[in-house]
Amino acid sequence: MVPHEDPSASPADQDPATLLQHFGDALVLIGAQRYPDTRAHLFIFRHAEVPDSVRQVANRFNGELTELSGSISEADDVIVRAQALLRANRKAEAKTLLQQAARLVGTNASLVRESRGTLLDLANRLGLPGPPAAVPARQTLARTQALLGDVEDRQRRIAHLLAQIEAGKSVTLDIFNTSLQLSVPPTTSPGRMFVSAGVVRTVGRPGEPREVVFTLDDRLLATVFTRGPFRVTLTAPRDFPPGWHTLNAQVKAKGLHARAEEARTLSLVQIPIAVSVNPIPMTWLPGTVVVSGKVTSRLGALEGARVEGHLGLAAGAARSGPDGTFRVAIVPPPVFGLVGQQRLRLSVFPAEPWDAPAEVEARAFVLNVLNLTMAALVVPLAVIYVRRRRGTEFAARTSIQMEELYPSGPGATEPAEGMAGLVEGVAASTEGGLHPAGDSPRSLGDRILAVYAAALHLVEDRTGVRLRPQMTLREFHRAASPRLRGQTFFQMTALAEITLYSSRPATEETLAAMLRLRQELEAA
Amino acid sequence: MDVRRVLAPVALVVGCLSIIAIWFYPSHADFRPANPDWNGLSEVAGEWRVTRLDSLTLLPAGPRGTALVVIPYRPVSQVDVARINRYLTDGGVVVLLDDFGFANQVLGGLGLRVRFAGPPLLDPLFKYKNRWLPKITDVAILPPGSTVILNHATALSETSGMAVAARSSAYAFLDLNNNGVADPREPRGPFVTAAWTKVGGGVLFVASDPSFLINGMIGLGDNRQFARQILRFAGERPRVLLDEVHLPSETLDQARTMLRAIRAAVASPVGVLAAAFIAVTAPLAILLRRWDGNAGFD
Repeated sequence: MVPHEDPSASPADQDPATLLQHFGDALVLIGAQRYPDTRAHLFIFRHAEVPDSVRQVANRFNGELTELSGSISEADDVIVRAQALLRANRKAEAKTLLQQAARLVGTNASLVRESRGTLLDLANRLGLPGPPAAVPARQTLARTQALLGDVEDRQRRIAHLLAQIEAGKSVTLDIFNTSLQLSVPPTTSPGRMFVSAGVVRTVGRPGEPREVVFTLDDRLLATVFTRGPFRVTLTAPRDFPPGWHTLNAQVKAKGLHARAEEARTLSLVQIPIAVSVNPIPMTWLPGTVVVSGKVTSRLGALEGARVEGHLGLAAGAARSGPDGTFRVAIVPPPVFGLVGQQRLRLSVFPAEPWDAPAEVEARAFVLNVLNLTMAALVVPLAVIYVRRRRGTEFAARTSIQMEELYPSGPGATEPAEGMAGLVEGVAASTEGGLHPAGDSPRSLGDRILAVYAAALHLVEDRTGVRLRPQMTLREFHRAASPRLRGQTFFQMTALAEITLYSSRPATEETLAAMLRLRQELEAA
Repeated sequence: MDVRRVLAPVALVVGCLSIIAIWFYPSHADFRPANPDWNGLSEVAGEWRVTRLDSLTLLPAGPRGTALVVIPYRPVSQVDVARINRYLTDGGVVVLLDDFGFANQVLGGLGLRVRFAGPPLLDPLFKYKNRWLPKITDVAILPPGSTVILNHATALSETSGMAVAARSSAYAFLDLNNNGVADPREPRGPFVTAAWTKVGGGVLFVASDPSFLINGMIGLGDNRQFARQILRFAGERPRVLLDEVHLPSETLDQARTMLRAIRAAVASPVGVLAAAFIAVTAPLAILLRRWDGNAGFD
């Protein structure tokens, strides 16, 4: 805790709501005819800290209320003196005083209207934000209006009495003050009951039961009749939002019994609820995602709460049972995007207005059959397409010039030596091995082809496909590949074609690659 | 140059300068009578010619006509509570001022039910500049229309049986959660902020904020008049005692207190005799040593 601050450097703060509440309290005192208390209450206002921007208006309002209090008090005094004269059967003098009272009450009504205008001006200058700061302003305006009604009611009564006296009828003028004591709990919840108790006191001759009207923000809650103490059970409206509201109890004027009024600020709060969600099992789509759980509050399980589940654009709803448990089924549409971990939103709307709504998130893992099927179809096709496209490109790069190999063109009647002959020739010349002992070093290209020839024979043996004279190496591979595994022979065929037809000379690396591939082929 | 020969005089000079600085440098601690800043009590201390007590053992045996101001911002021992109790019952006036300190220890030790509530008292309407400086308009011991400005005050509770001296407005509230806003469940005024009662032959005056006495506050509202009225419980021209034992203190204040204690000890009869003895024997001892040295050459 800070022990103190330097007052010369202290910042200023303002509280418009409390400022207005001060004036509202003064109006309550006027309405209760507690004029000395009203004067004292308004007198100390000079010590209040008021913003410079509204000081003039606030002081004016304070002055108007002071004048109003005095004027109403004076009117009451005149009426009481008239009452005494009437009891003494001095009607003429009573009539004079009643006429004076009628003028005073008219003045009172003008003062009230003027004060109301000043109050509105003050509230506008204060620039009040929304509730709860607006609540005191609403209370004060309501009290001013009630006071105006009270004064106007007096005018009517006095006018009625004057008419009675003019008509020569015997009248009695009774003015009894009424006071109201009221107690309410500071908080409750929408839709819940609460108890208000109090006492109506009437000074002077006790009259018939008095009507006490209870309203909450101008909505009628209950009406009771009492000669004194009362205890009433009220219910906060279910449709009222949480926040600050004004509970008003008014003892209606009856005959010449003055009215009384008390207002209290009632805070409506909602009870927070708890939502527990069970783990959601893995779900296959198309199918149903089932979410279960329980809704509770500090008062116990919540029955009848509406639970809405949202998974993307899909939604489902259910009501909680007597034990608060719920089971929401959501049927997502067949969309390809719904797969894997999905975020699911649950909104809970309790059946009772005193429970606060809640929202929770859950996660669901879904496996989408559509996605998997589509993947199973598309992926292999894509792979095949890609491989074929690569093979075509490779063949284009190493295409065999048919004219070179088959000078007489394909389909010629004379069997061209062609590739088969070339390979056979190379194979024959390398009979017994790749490096026949005693021979002179052979060209790299021949040696590469010799390795390929050996592999070709191996493939012929394994697949049963024979290299025909009209076949190209590529055509042979295509015929044999369904019965081969892997790409080894294809690579060997490609290297052989490069060796045969490329303008670049064969290299040792190509030979080494061919030898390695052959080993792979033999091991396969 | 022999350093040892210079060291002693230099140390002596530094020590003297330090003592002078400690003695004369103004305090900045809260509620210190020597503090001339906004948070000190130099103004009222000068006006009332306050006698500062470093120990409650210095309380006068006949306390009539005296007023003891206690601002317990440090724990109060049971022994000190007993001393305050004796001072009260013997006819003294105790002005117990607190907000967030240890005054409840004193009140409990005196066997009284009244307590300092603890939470800050804020007034959003009747205030000086902001709500933490509430303006008290209902002051029973001042003429009507007077106001007392408090500064981060609290309220008094359980004041039944006591005479209420000051009360806040109905718009004041106790800020239980310290958020500066009047929440629905927070108590609303009016609250008692000052009260007094007879205890034995004396009077105990309790106020829920000591800050109205500080230099920055004494001139606001009718604070000065309020303070004078409180002291009048001890008579027209009371001797005002200030309990410094339980005031908040800085290191400088503690050092000054120690110096004061030393000065008091030196100024006592025993101290004077001791100083005189040293003043006489020390030069003799030096002279005797020199005579012995010269005799050796013979």
